[in-house]
Amino acid sequence: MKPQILLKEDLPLLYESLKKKNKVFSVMEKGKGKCVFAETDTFSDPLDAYTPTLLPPKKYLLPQQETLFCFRMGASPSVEENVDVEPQVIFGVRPCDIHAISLLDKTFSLENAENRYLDRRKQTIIVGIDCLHHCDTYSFCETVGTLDVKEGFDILLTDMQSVIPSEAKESHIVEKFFITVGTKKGEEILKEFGKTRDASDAEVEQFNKIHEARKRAFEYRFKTEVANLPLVLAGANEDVTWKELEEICLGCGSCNIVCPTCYCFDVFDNVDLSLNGGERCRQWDACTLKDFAVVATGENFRKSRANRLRHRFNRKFNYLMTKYGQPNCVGCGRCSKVCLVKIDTVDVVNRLIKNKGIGNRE
Amino acid sequence: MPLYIPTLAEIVQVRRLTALEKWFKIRTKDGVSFSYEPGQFVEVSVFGIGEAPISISSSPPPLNPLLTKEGIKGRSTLPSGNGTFEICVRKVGDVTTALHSLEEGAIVGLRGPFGKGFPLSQMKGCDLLFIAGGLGIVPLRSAINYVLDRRDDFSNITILYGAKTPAEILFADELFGWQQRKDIECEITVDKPDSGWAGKSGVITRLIPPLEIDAKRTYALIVGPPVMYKYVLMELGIKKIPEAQIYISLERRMKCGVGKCGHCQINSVYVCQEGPVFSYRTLKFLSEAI
Ligand SMILES: Cc1cc2nc3c(=O)[nH]c(=O)nc-3n(C[C@H](O)[C@H](O)[C@H](O)COP(=O)(O)OP(=O)(O)OC[C@H]3O[C@@H](n4cnc5c(N)ncnc54)[C@H](O)[C@@H]3O)c2cc1C
Ligand code: SF4
Ligand code: SF4
Ligand code: FES
Repeated sequence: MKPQILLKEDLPLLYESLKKKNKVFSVMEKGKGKCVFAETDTFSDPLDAYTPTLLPPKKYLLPQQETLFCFRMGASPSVEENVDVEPQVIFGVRPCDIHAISLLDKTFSLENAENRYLDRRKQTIIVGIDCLHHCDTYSFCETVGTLDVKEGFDILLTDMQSVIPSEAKESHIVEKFFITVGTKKGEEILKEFGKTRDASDAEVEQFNKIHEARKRAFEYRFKTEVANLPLVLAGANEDVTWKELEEICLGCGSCNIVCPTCYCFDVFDNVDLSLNGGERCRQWDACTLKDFAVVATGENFRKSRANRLRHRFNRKFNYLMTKYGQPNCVGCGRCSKVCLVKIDTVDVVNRLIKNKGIGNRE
Repeated sequence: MPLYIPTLAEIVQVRRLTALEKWFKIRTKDGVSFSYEPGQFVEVSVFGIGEAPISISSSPPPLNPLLTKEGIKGRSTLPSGNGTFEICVRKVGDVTTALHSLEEGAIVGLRGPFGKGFPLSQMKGCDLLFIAGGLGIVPLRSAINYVLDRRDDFSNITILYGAKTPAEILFADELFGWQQRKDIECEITVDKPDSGWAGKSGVITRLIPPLEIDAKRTYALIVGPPVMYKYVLMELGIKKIPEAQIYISLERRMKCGVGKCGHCQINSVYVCQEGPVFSYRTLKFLSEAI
């Protein structure tokens, strides 16, 4: 489908039309500078809620806690899969989070594909919203290559006015979104909605210009090319940075919990009050927590906070990066923002680069 | 494939081995077939308590019926097949304690088998050195019986086993049976002998220096507690066994068994997928492994 144009005043109508058949989660401001994704009854303008949400939209695909299956106990136990998937829309997902969802898609579809995740993913419509200016001081999407997004959304809205208002010479400014259609499902949604029109050649050109122009608003923040990071991390096992962080990091796990690409989990049983049955649940876990790698004999294979943090950084910029050919960090900056002791991801990476002596970028 | 949903299996036989360990024979329900290789593990569920990774301790039956006939001679247990297999569980926490409370006929949940076992077929014609510390005999027993069932396929076989005390020796009948056999060497040592103990005492590493090893044609298969590996590897290094011919099984925390939950990771490696058995050549490059 050709790119579409949607008048800004019609955006609430798109929201309403999606709501007819789906549960809709959208982003809204909750207190100053604090945005969240939540189930909404009425339209909430994603343009107003600009900074990354406290928790990423991942929570609708990999819930913080969920039931894997139910069981009956006693002499003849039985198990029954718990299926709780319904059509849903995540409305107003930023490029970094779209990239993060694409990474989760890889995790759960390659090698031992996980139906739970994939079924939910299939039932999920993603309405993306483009970023035209830098959201807050912690993020670094352009650095890890996640500002531009080509797939992973059903439709992507780009505000056609935000960057170059000076070009809107007429007194009456037509406020509109440029819609990139990412999937067949996205096309169907727009056809059913019926209130968009094909973008003109001039509008396509304007969109390209906006995309080109916005780059100036984003800076590259690592001191070396991203592609060098696996090498930097692989050679940094004994780096003094980890020893310094050992003294600072609380091992609280917050950086994992807010991360859109973290997916590790714990598994446990919950028993009904009747004691006849229960459910096996999983819950987000965090590799920076003390007990993450403890075995029953008491051995802890990553005893120090520094080793656990080192593991986390290696997952982002070495282990999974080597596996998937791109960082497993989308630069949303949530981890740096949430950290009580102000451990900043970009800063840590740059310290490792500097100590390795290969900082070739300023 | 529902990755996390166990099938049901029945405990068909239970035996207490020591104060802390029990042996179970388990059969899949409704004739669900179950095939495995020595060194693999299963996830066993006690519903309402949880799930734990446990090594398979029996050995898969030989495919060739002739081999079966030959192999059973001089062997104290039959190979497990047709959906049955054996495990041995040490009581240390919630799930393992719950397993200990189960009796014959009880139903448990089962997932797996998972992971990669010992590459025994690649060791054909070679000398094998098995080194088991404590509970490490549980998975190694699978490999040992597999090899004994196919005795002619392998050259010299040496088994070293170390336990803390005589009372903690696992599969004692089988071990003493192996000591009687003329076609294999089997040495047992205990850290702390008691008055009735006539065998060797001292740590297991002491059994290695006296061995005559043809390093080039020897494979070492080692399973034991984490502390054991460093010292055993040092001794094997002195014997010049090539690192690629040393296989080690590692224990890590495991929640899923299918490469998703992240708990078992050593550096970039998922132990539940690429292990639990690794060659030392692989492990050497993993800073968090040993
Ligand atoms: C591949 C593999 C094969 C194995 N094979 C066998 C086998 O053949 N036989 C066998 O007996 N065992 C085996 N194990 C070990 C077995 O999986 C554990 O003993 C079992 O998972 C313990 O579960 P549990 O619920 O009984 O113990 P838990 O209740 O989980 O804990 C046991 C002990 O550890 C402590 N503990 C638990 N969690 C933590 C934590 N987060 N931090 C600190 N301490 C903690 C508890 O306080 C308790 O004392 C194997 C493990 C692996 C990975
Ligand atoms: S880096 Fe910060 S958020 Fe992460 S575990 Fe350490 S203290 Fe907590
Ligand atoms: S590591 Fe930090 S910046 Fe990177 S994706 Fe996770 S939360 Fe965002
Ligand atoms: S046990 Fe979950 S990833 Fe290996």
